[in-house]
Amino acid sequence: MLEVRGVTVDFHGLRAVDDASFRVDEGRIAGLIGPNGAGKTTLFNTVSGMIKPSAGSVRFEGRDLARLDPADRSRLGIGRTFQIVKPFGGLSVRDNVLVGALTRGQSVGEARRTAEATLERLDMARLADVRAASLPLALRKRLELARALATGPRLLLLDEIMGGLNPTEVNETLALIRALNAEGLTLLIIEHNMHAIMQIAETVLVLNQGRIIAQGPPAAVTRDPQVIAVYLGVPLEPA
Amino acid sequence: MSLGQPNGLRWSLVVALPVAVALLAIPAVVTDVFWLGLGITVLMWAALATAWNISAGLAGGLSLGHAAYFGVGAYTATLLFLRLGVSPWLGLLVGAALAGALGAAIGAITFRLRGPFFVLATLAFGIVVHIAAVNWRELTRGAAGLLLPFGGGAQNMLFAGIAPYWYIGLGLLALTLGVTVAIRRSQLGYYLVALREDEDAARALGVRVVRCKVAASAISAALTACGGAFYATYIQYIDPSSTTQFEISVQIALVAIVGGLGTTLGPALGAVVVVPLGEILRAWLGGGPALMLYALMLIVIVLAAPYGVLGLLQRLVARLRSGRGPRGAAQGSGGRA
Repeated sequence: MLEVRGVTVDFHGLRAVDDASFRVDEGRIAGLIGPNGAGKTTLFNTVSGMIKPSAGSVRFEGRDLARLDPADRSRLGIGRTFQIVKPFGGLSVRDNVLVGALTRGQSVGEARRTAEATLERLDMARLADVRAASLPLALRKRLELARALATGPRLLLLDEIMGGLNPTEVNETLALIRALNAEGLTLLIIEHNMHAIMQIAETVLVLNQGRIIAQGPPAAVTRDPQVIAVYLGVPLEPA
Repeated sequence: MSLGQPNGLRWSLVVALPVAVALLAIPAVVTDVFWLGLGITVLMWAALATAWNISAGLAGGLSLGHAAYFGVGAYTATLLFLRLGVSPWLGLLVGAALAGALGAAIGAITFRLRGPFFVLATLAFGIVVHIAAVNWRELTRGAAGLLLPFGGGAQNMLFAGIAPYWYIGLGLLALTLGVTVAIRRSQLGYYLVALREDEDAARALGVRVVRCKVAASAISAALTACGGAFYATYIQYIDPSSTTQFEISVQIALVAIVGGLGTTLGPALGAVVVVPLGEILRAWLGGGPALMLYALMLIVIVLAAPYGVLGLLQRLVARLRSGRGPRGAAQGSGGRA
């Protein structure tokens, strides 16, 4: 469904992503992990269209996305959340979600119903009239998810939506992700919470200094010596 | 504006009906030409500020070039009538279409620009159109201006008395307000607010920036041109300094900002405050001293009502309703509702 091939991103001589290649098959959950500054969000941005890669290609359902901007990609079925949440602060929670539903081609009335159903599902219905700016961080993260879901994505990119959540909330979010996946949604998830991502991802990609150093099932990846070195900071071989 | 809330809807009906009746009755009551003329001027600036607000308030592009659209409307209606005998009623529509196309083009060029760069680009555009109006003498007769014949008749939007212009102005204001309300309730309205709040998030949700900004710019320009055609037939004389000059652009923006940028009724309310202030001061004091006092009073208004006159009124009403609570009332009135 998603195929990233040889993607490289240079920021004024700094190589943020270096020749990254991976694919996410339809109906799967893939995790993207790595230390801070590894280039996870940058790699995400090349998929959602916020950043144009300096080299390489991104294909979605066989289609090259190079010439499509973020709005086009969203309309193709690629939804995303932002790690640094970006609520429409002056709008109500309902209207935030409504904007996402509108781009599906729904009328304002239909979009409002979609928004309310989405909020219901995320257990946010009682917050529908609250101004988004007044939500605490955990709920803003959930609003990111609600908005992205309202666009009706087939591939959903989640950028650290579990950061700052308590264990109960993390479990709720995991249950929700599983349920969405069971309905056919494909997910690519950036997550710092290793325990959470290992529970849910079928494939894990490990990014370090812009390079994908390992990919495979969680159990295999966690045994990979390079990954252990990156995460524990212990060089296993003499430098 | 509390549109959409049941409470707000009831209130706007209670307020709107008597206001509408009073507005329709005004020419029967106010027969003095100075005062009725002042009223018509207020209506025109209210409509212009409301039209400008669609681009500036809803789409977030603070244009200082709207005099260009005003001029296009005024000159199109006038020239079509003088040269081809086309009724200004029709000329108004042609001018609106021309200005709409121009607004779309400007919107497509400037949508990427933010803050001061957008303002400068629209300012430059306005000046280009002004220079064209001054120098393209074969068409506009330059600074000599164009005179519309007296007594052209109702079919040509040219009336002997000024009362009909009150009603046309009222219609124009109703049109701009109606379009504003319609936009705010439509997909475009939601997209524009989303873009203003956070462009990256809006794009990620599928909102197409260029289309939205082009649409807002075109609609705003077309409505501004209607105001220009109205001005031409009302004053029955136009020249560059009264239509395309930079000061017109500034005045439109000023009226809207004083009233309440981004709100539905604020810009129109701004005209009710700003225009009489300017006109009356000029009638009393004339020239320089009037202008100085005018500027001074505007500074005071902006300082006293940073969210516009509408914001100030909303705060006062909220304070009265909540039993003169000095605090709670101010809550939430600051937003660009």
